[in-house]
Amino acid sequence: MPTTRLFEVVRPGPLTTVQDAGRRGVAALGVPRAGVLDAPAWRWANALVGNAVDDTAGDVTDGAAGGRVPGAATLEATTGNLALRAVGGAAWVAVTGAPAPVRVEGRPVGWGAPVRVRAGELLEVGAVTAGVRCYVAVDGGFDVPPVLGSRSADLLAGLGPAPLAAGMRLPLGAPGTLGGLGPGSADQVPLAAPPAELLLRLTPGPRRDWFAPDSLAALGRTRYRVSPASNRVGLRLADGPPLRRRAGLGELPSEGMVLGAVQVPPDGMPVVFLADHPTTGGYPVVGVVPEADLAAAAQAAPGTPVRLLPTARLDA
Amino acid sequence: MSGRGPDSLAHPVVRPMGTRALLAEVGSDEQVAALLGDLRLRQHDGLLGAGVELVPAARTVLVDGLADAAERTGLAAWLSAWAPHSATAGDGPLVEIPTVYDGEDLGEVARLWGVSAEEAARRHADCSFRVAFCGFAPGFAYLTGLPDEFAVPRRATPRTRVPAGSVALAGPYTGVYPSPSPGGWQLIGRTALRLWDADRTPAALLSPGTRVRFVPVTNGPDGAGESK
Repeated sequence: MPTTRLFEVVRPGPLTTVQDAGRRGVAALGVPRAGVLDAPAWRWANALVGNAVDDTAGDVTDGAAGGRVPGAATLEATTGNLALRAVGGAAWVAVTGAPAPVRVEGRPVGWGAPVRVRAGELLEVGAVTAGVRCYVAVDGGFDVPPVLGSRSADLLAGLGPAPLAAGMRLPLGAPGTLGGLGPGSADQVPLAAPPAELLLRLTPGPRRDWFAPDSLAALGRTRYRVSPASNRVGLRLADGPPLRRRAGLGELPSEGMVLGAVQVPPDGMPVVFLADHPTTGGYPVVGVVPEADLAAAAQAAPGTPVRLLPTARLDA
Repeated sequence: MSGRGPDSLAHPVVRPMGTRALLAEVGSDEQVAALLGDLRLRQHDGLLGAGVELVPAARTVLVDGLADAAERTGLAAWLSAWAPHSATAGDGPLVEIPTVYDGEDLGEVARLWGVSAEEAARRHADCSFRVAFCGFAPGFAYLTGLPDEFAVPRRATPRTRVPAGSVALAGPYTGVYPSPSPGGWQLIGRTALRLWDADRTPAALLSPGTRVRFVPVTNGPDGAGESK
């Protein structure tokens, strides 16, 4: 019987959660999707340690419920600053997403590269030097119990594992069971540096006609900044002109929400919904940011300038 | 006029929600139930992808996860031509919720209805409910079935913590808090039934289409004891 491999949390960082591709098919029960905010960085980290990278084909069988779990779970570390000790066996580890110094037993090792951490050794991820969120993948994935088909922590609904805390023990899955090609087999993927200005395309939303035409027309030329109140629920925009509603429309009954929906509360400041967004909402959605643009949104630090660029359709 | 929904006899108004979702708006919660039922049938018959999510709400059904443009165009045409009809009555499973009618706001609700607290409880328990949609929190179901004239406003000041199992009213809806949370609904009673358990299958006892009855019980040792 093989020894159980695990990582013990020595320093949890300000907000570090376990995340995979999230929960699907449960929105009608009021359950948010959750899951990684920067999907390309998550895929890359998993590829570097030999975990399957396709978030549908690479499912892990969940023995308890017999269901399927979306992809290998990684850690999503907001601003980095965490330390983990390997227990029970060696592991391949890769850190991607926001660049940060990585050390094993104090020795600098590669960021964005597979790194071997032996039993008893301390892995440290320092403060991010740009961007917001680091992804820490291990071979076999973090094997916390799945909830409703996913290992993701959902901070809005309170589902899945709690954010990391000192002393917490995170079991690892068996190496080599996730269908990957083996550590180090991933092509080097150039990482888009966190943008100096975040440009988010805005495809049509259902309630565009709730907004004053001149206010909408000015949107593409309007600069906002990422608010420090942004979190896994939404990227909040601040420091720009409020989007004005047309008069006399009253209240909107709650309606279903999607990832990337740009909701505009009464104060007129847009909120771009991220993975932990509520499944329904009562504020009008002016447009939807396509999923491909949301990874950059997840890495935009507070204060980053943002523009929403109305786009009729997406080129394939 | 823009911003308005269709009247109760018209076809749905179909709006894009980005490039992968459609939002169909209908005239009543009965039509939401009927449209949701028909969309589920289409999904069951393979006419909609298994990964497509159907999210009903007060006057809309969201169809999300339409990755294929042709599928989206075809569905938009089908939705625009959908003819409103009555929801198939009595098709959902029935869940009975044993309820102690002793909520802190029962007196206020009774006053709004112009009856005694006992009569308010009786009237509520006499209604047949259906889950119109879920939202706000996992397993929080918006139940329709109260007559329109029994609609009540939310509390002026929301409570910072409402206990799990609280049975409450707001607007035309009845809800049962599946977990402790802040809330502004008027509390009329409580149940010991666990409506939400993420480790149970199904996790949610109440999902869209489920029929519900509240069964009055007296206060037992576990907080919601024997049937009257």
